[in-house]
Amino acid sequence: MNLLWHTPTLMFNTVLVTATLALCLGLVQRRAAHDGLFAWALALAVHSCAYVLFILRGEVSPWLSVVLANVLIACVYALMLEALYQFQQRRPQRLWIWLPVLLTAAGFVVLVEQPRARVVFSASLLGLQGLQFVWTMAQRWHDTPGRGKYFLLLGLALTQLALTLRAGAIVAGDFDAHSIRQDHPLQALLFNIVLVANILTNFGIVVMTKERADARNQRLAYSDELTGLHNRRHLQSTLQQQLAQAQRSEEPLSLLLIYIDFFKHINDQHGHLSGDLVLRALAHTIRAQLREQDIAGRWGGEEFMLLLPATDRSGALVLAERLRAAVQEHPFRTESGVRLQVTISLGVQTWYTQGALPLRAETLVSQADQALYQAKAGGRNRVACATA
Amino acid sequence: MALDTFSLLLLNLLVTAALALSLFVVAERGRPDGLFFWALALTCFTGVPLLFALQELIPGWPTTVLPNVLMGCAFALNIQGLYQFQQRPLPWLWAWLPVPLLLLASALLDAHPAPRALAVALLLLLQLAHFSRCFHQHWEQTPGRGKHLFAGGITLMLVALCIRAANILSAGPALQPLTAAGDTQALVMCLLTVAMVVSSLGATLMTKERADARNHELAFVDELTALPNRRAIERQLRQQLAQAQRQQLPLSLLVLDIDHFKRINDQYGHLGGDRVLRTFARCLERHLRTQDIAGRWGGEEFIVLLPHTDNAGALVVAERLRCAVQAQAFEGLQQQAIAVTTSIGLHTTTPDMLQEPAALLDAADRALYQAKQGGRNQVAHNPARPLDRAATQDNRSA
Repeated sequence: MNLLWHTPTLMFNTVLVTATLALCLGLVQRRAAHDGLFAWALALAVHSCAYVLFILRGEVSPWLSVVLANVLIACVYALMLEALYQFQQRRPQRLWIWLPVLLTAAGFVVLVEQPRARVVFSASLLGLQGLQFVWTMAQRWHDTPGRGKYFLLLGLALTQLALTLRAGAIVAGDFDAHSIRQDHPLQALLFNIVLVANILTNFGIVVMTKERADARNQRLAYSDELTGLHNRRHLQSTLQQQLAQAQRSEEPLSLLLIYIDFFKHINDQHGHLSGDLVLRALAHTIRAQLREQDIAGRWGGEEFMLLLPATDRSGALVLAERLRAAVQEHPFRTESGVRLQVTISLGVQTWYTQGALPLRAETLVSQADQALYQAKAGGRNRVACATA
Repeated sequence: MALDTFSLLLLNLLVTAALALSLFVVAERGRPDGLFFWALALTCFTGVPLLFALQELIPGWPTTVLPNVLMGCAFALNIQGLYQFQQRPLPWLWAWLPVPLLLLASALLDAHPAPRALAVALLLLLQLAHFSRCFHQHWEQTPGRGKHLFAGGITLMLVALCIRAANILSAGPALQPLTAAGDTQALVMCLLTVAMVVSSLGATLMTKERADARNHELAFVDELTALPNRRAIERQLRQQLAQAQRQQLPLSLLVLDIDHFKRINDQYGHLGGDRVLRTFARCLERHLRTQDIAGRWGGEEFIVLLPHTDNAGALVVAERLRCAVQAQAFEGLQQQAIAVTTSIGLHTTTPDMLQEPAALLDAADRALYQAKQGGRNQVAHNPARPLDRAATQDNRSA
């Protein structure tokens, strides 16, 4: 392999790819998004500068190609950590982030003439910075959706592996730390690993920021902002799925429509803010009565919908009656703390799937709607069941 | 410093393989957004430097013909990915037709480098033209900045291929293999590596940005009326209020409620009611000024924000809206005419009275209540004193 890899070419290529990545990220990031991409682009740019200095080793003063280059590498990690803090929307702890950079600078000034000690020193400091990064990632590991975080971790692990290999070889004496540009299989391996790691971490951060934005918007798009229950859009798509699933598993599917009696009065008498309070409290009450598999959502206005998979009519009626009683007893309050008596009417419809033809979602809803109409016509605060 | 072409070739292999792997991991099953095809394309691109690197070990057609065919496959896959991203039917025939032609041309002209290079370059350019045309057709609809990177990467690829083709054509019999030392070869290699990085990052961003834009629309637009939804209006209200305070300008807020909407729903069905809501939303939009913001608050309630508008101005707008709704022809599902009117509550906040969004809404809401009490189909504004709702409640229970 020794002859295959020409080290200056490798280094040049690393600079080229890293600078390209920095430029691309710089172009697509939006500073207002505060998602860390800007700091990451900066880290990549600094990284390519450090490599330019490494290439120039022997041609420029060691103060530039050794001391400054290594301080820049430490800055890369610090900037990556800044980016991570920004991504996690935490206040960056500046001292903790930039202390290793100061230590690197001090250490290299002292050790500029001692290549071996220098390499071990820088490898251990960079190892520490890697640990800092992993520690910071781990603190928010479960809050970070998607797969980007694995890329980041893999890239980091690869870089640390390369650094450890190099430091080990230099300490063992089969590798001259002074001539970074020599053709050596280990040197080639190191540069290749750094190159791949840069690509992986770069994809990692981009995918991480995008996946989080995605997850957030998805939550916004499918939940009702007022009650936190599923919204109508989500109910509609879930209803389709549940119908298909019920038919496949030949289990009955029950649907409940819940309607707040005289909600208009509440709104008119006590204001919309009180109306909102009632809606929220009702959502809370409903949620407390549900089983794990039940799906609750706001169908619109003062109407709520419950989907009860694998539940027959009698089961649905029991739940409906329990809900009605729970709401009647719940101490609803207006904004100004006035006690409100709130009741609900419920319409129940069950679809027995065994041997049935496929059913349209609208049909099931409108049957439950008719049952609800009966409940209201029968004097409200009651449960009615659609006639089969 | 002279660059070693062979190292560059291996690096191109390494970088492209890393990118292909990344794209495979990013591509999500069940989300036909083109990423899987693009990852496959990168895999084909990985094969090209690999075969070139093996040129000395395996002489003959596997290393002369196959790279060209792989390149054709990669472009075909890129085109397929783009069609999938744009949600158009996949162009199997037109994307893949150049591939057998490439095989044919490379095999037949194996002994004649210059005509072969010309034929291969032409076929690849044809594929690139196909790609660019279809990219261009949907350019405006593609949100975000990833598309610029993707297009830039493909352009770089094109430049690299043209340089290589020109090199082959001009060199004649003294043609150097791509792996021989030389500035042109090094340049082509570097360009291709950069092109791979830029285009795959662009492709990833493009898909993510579109998913983002879609979800954003779902989250902030009311699906029935296509007006901003409650969440969007809440956000707008906060922003407008902050802006009004900074600029020392008044801000007016209208709360509109369709009169007796319940009756409309009962009489004409929910679908009829939905139709009325949609017509109502269009009517609002038509009669507002450009800077005004209308949204659906929920049910039959709508909100209009009037920036830089004082009480007198807002009254004019509100009255105009009330008349417009009264004059508007509403129809049920069977084209039956429905008479619709609206009650409007108006509240204006001036810079000298600091108000929270909730307080602003509450005041407009109280005005709406007055309009309802006063017999509906009317505008009421700035109630003199907060309604004593607790007292009302006590009276009712007493």
